[in-house]
Amino acid sequence: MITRARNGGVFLVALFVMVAGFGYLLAVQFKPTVNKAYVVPVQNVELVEIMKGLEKENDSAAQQIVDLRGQLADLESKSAATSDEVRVLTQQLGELRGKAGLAEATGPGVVVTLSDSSRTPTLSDDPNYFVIHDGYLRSIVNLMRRYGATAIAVNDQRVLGNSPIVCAGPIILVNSSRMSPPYVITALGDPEMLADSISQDVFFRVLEMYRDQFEITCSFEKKTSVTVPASLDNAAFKYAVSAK
Amino acid sequence: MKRTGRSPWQSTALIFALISFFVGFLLPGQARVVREMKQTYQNEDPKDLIRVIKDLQQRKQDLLVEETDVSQKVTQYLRSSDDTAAQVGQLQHEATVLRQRTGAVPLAGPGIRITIREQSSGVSPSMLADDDLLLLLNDLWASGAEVISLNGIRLTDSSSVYRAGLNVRVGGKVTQMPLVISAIGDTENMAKGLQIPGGVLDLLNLRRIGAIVQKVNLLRISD
Repeated sequence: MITRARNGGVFLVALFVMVAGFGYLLAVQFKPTVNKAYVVPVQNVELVEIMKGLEKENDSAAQQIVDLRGQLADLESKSAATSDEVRVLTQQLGELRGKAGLAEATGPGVVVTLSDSSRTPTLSDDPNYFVIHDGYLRSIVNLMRRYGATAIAVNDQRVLGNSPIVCAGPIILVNSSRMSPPYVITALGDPEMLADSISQDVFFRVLEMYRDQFEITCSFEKKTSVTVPASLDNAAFKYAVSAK
Repeated sequence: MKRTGRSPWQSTALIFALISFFVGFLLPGQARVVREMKQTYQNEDPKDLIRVIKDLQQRKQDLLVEETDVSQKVTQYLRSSDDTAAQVGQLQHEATVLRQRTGAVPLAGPGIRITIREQSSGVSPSMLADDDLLLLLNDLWASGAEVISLNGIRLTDSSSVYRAGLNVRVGGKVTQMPLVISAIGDTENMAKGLQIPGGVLDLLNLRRIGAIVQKVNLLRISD
């Protein structure tokens, strides 16, 4: 009888500890959410709506540019059939557009995929190691150029020499367009050369270490064919003119 | 007397089961809320969202410029369908613009010149890192640079920039410190972009790397 009562007491203490533990865990889990979910700045709802509206307009303008460029290419090829001079110039222009990144490019290459960790950092973790930063994308793009990439894109954005890759808090922008993870960096070039060089580079090895330790996504694939979209930026300069 | 109620053990087990169920029920919901909030950005700092909106508005303007440009080209082509001379003129004009863009011709215009010096003397010499250089160039592009050169070497779409020992490699060429960065573009905006508090110049300054920014009325960058 006494043993049973003692066992019951031990069980209740254990139960109390477990329930208290659950309570603590719940409180820890809820704390950041409560702060953010229920104290969402009122203007954020409106700002997100404006942001999404602008993205929709920009997507529509981008499609319009692609369509218009297609129409122009058709007109140019029709004219090229009527005059040798126009044909030669059209051909030269095609090469220049390719060089300036204004044409879609397809060929062998590599794809590097980076994404934030799916693991929630604990209180003792530094959350910076769990997310992909704009600097990582800049460094990967720079590495790809270093090892011979001829055309590069991050998600659907063509990255040219003058394409800024910046961040606004946790949001990464490429060509002033918001990127969502996973960040897929596609490069045209010799897959073997790119793969061997990038995988041995110190920066890429650091990212692989973060992958192992903090569970970010960092993967690398050689591809027989990748496609990099055309840049939608206007080629003309506003300030720079030909020097005499 | 016959006991019809549950024993304390049974009651405790029932309460325990209920609590466990409640916790198990709540946790996935909690995870979903966190995930959704991340996707909708509604819990972000409003300053960050405003920055994104400004960038998207700038993007809208840029796309509109290109849309108008291509649309005008299509219209001109349709108008001059049997006028070879007009078509040749249009093609030559675009070729000139693209040669400027791809680095085939020397360019001139207003801009800024930044001279960067490392501190090589002392107990702990300072050294410009690849990340510093990439951030500096990125900030220049983001604030309106059109053409940039490093010690006279023009950056193109395929140029990588990195340190190789004490040297700096720009594309396939090698140059040394001090580094003179010339950028043609929106002078005021570039100067402002570099000098924002906590920006790249502050970062360099903290690491004892000297950076002098000068506005220049006419810079020349060779091909």
